[in-house]
Amino acid sequence: MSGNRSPDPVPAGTPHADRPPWPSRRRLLRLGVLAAGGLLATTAVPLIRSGPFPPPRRPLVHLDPRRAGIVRALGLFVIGHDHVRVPVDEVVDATLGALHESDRKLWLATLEILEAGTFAMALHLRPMSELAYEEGVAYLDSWGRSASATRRAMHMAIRKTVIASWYMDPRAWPVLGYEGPWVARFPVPTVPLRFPLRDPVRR
Amino acid sequence: MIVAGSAVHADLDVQADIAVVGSGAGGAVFAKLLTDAGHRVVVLEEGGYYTSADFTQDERDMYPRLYKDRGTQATADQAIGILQGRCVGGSTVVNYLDCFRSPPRLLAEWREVAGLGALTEERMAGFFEAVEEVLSVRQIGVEQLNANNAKLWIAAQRLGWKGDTFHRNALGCIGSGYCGLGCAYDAKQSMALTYIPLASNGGALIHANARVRRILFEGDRAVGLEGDVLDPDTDLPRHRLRVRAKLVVVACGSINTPVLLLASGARDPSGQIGRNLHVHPAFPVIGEYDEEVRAHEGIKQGYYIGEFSGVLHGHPDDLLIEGIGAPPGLSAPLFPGTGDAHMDWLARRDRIASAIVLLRDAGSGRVTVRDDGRPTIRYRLDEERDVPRAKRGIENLIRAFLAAGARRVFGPTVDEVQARHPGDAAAIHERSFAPNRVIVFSAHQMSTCRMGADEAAYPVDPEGRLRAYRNVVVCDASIFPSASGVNPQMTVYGLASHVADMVRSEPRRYGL
Repeated sequence: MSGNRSPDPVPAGTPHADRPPWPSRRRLLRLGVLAAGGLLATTAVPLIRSGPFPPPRRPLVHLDPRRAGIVRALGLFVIGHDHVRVPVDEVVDATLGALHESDRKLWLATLEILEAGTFAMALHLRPMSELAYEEGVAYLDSWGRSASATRRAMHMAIRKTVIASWYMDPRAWPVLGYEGPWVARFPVPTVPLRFPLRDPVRR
Repeated sequence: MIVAGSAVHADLDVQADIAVVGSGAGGAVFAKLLTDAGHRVVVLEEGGYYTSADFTQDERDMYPRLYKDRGTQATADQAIGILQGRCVGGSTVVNYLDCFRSPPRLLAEWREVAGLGALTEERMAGFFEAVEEVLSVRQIGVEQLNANNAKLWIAAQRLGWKGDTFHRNALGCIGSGYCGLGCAYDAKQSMALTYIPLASNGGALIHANARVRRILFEGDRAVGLEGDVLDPDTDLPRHRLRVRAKLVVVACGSINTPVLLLASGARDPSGQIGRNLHVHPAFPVIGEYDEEVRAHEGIKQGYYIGEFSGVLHGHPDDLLIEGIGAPPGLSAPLFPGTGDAHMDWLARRDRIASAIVLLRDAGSGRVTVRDDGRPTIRYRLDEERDVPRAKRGIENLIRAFLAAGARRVFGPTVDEVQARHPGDAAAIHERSFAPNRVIVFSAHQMSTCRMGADEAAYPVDPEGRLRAYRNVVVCDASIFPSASGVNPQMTVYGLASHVADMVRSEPRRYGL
């Protein structure tokens, strides 16, 4: 092995060394709110999508009815037609509740940009939540494969949250052939090792 | 005694000889060894205290309790998920138990490049033996491999590659496969089951739900800590926390150690605190087989291919291939496709093997602190030094899965690489590894407060002290002079033992 393997990529004292090479979360958030507000203000399309979506079992806290509609449409595009097993808005709302407030705001702003981005970025005359399945999948894929690092980052944040939230729910597990946690199925007595009386290496 | 935040009903003022911030691999070992030496030690852990009775194996419960940012922590560009434990015991509660002693080549490099002459094989071997005895570290047998890891074993035999089963810190493991959600069977010998109780038995006081916001400095000394006692359910501050101590030990891990030091305004003549972040980028590859694999059951990490490891065998690519499995919520986003195509993959999950290429990264990133006290993590794969090696590793892993009988294998890029024959694997070299064009995550973060002799390059001196202060010690993976190239928990234990031994030998030099 030769040489120092980990040189500093940004030498101390470099002008603007603190500035990230890509937009910060704050800038993304600002960009998101501005873009979504502008685009939504120019449309009068009803955004609450109706359809064969299972209702959430508990009241939503972080998703208002309009955003819940967008998330349900996302569920169809991201999860597929079997998404009806689990109310996507319910599980995503629960995940959003576990995020820090600033991260939650950023996620919701990203959702708005995805919703409104169909007009400017895909030349659709409808918002994302109004797209047909094939259109929605193609639209999301276009974000995931975009040349813009920011768009890919937004796509990743949304995709990860929707998929992880959905598949963590026990109602999704039959799709995977996953029977659920062992502790519920095979109780095994634990060994009481929490406070061992003997320290094998005490000096 | 271990005190949860719910048991604290007033502002807390604590006096101790030594205040240890963080209860993971570094903090717990240090606390136990210094308690044994007769010092009054208090350990402050931001996360909660959980036992096997709390480990439901349900991802929805466990990520919020056991992981930093509920398991959602990522780099600023969302390209790399950063997994990090946050509970009493730290990442040792949620890791996959892989125990590699620091390889002799690594120690030699650190002696030569970083000037850490004390890190001899003989000295470190003594520390490793002691830790291995407490943690019941044993190598597993091939017969214990689950079908997923057995694929790598078969591949290594057929291709003539070097590989071995892992050493693991487990006692009576039943192979449930829920290592990442806390061991419900008390088989994993994490810090929460070993060094923390041993320190507690020796008289150390462990405060869970105790968040340290800043270190208080006076001249060239730290005089104490300020923070909050958190509500275990909401994570909101309930009471003020003040600690007075003669020696402050920072052991919050490679993300939060620099955050605490920077937020405290610590002087840093090197200007390197928070820089040089290594993450061991892990690239998942999946292979489809005709028979059942069920990668999520059994010992999840049982076998590794070390053929391409630099620190183990001198190979220039310097990477490991390790079998791995994960529960549904963590693994599902790693599968390719959108919509029905994605679900088609998951419907075949029982027949899919998974493994990672774990790269010893030469490039590095940076941790900074935001106005709200949370970290910003910036890291990009180094296109020149790291990406070509990662691609060769992925190509070799694809070949390994095919050699073990896979019908087809998929690489981790957004622009799909699907291989049915070994020659197909070379397509990975045509793919972009720009942020969010390749699936990558990190379970090992290192080197943000490197230890070394050159004061212009290393914020921590060879005796473990933050250079500008007499009585501030850093004791976690952040002091690694470079990426370890192997799963780092044993190296953290070894370095913590090394630093603790120096403090025990000459306590006055550390303000005790």
